[in-house]
Amino acid sequence: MQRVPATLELTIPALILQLCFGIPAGIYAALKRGTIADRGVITIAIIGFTVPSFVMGLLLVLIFSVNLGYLPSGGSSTLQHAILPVITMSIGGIGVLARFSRSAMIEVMGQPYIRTATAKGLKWRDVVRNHALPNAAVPIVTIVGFMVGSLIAGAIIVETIFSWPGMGRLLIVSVTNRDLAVVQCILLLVAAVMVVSNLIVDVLYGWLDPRLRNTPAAH
Amino acid sequence: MPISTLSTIAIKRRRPALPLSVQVALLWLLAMIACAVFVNVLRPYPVTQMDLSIRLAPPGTPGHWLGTDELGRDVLSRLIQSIRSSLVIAFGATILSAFVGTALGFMAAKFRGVVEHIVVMLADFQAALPFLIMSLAVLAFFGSSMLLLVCLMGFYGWERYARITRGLAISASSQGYAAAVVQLGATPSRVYLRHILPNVASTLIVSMTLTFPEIILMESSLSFLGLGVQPPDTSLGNMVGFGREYLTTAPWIMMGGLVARVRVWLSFPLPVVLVK
Repeated sequence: MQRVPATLELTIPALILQLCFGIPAGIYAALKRGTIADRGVITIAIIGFTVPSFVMGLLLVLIFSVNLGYLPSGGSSTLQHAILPVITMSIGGIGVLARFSRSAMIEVMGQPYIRTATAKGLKWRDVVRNHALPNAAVPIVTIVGFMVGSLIAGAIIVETIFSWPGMGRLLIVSVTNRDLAVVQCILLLVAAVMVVSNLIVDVLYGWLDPRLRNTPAAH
Repeated sequence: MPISTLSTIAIKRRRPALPLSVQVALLWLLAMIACAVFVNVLRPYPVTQMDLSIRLAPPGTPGHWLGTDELGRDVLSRLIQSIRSSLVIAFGATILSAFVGTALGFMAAKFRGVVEHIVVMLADFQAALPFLIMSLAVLAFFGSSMLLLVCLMGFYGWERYARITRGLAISASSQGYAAAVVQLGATPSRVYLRHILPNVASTLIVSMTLTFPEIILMESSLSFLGLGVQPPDTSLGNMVGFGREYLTTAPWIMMGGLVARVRVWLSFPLPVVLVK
């Protein structure tokens, strides 16, 4: 159990990075659709989520630790040690998020109510902020919910690469040693995290989309 | 304008040239499959043949064009072998998961009620839990073998097929053609396999081509962690995982695996664009 904080030290900054870069990049690309900026974002996003995390991690180690010597390649004593793992974990998610928020945004921007808002003479910025963003948020929140799962799975690999003493590393060690009690415990913990994150996503739906609040539970 | 030029233009119009990236991807995939099929002819050395006198030879050494690893085994031979085992696992697993998923989806669509609830619940369960963690747990309980690995990977993504098939089959059975065949006295299995399956097949095939590289990724992640394909056999993830220890002194052990993996992963979705 004392390994959990170490994993959180990686996953939470990675999640924050993903949210801070992925969503704005996707929205930006959607608003600048068809331009070079759009293509650039999409290309980087595709590279980001097609290159698996262990490849990305090792490449980062090769470049920044071995060749340039800026950052340590493994361990967890200082803040510098966390930089590479967090970057490795977030890149894939940034790609996924950018792509999804781009397509969600493009879909919303094509809706009639956006045209109405623009025709009303609202400023472009107001249209985007008040009319487009809240509507694009629902699919994006869904994806973020799924990404929590992939973050946990990613943590296993990333912690192995950077020998970070977290839950994922513990899981690998206990699987190799057939330490079944530990494996069960971690599995339960992950399942609990997944349930909670899905719950949060469902609650967020209601908050984002008032239409979903008062509908009866049974369809 | 000479007739020959005209005719080439006409041909070009009929079949628009493929984008260069798709061509490259297709060529790469063909080369990969060729590697997997003709592995015994292609590889210059057996994968386990060691030669400690030339261990950690850099790429370009005569006889070992991609260098050798820490035991003097030829990296090129091991790379070819790796591609084969990764592809075999991925093919087996894709077919297995498509089969399981489609069968369950049809069952849910046929019986509805309790069966449907169970199938949908299982699919939700599978979708909610990160697959890597589940497979680690299974491997912890049963140990690792090639057969188990294929079966385990065969569970990857079945919930997607089940959902797609269920949805499509339910909508298909409300369409005229299914009802007509039922009226003609066809058995349920005939209706589903001969009439509904061909109609949903194209969606399933697209889904299969999307799952395939994901399975390769999953298998390499497991092997990278040392829990997938066991030595002396090798796979792409395995090469990267073991090569990692020689990252500073002999990066070429790892690089071959890395590059091949990324290329397979990038190439696979491109033909899908083509099919669409």
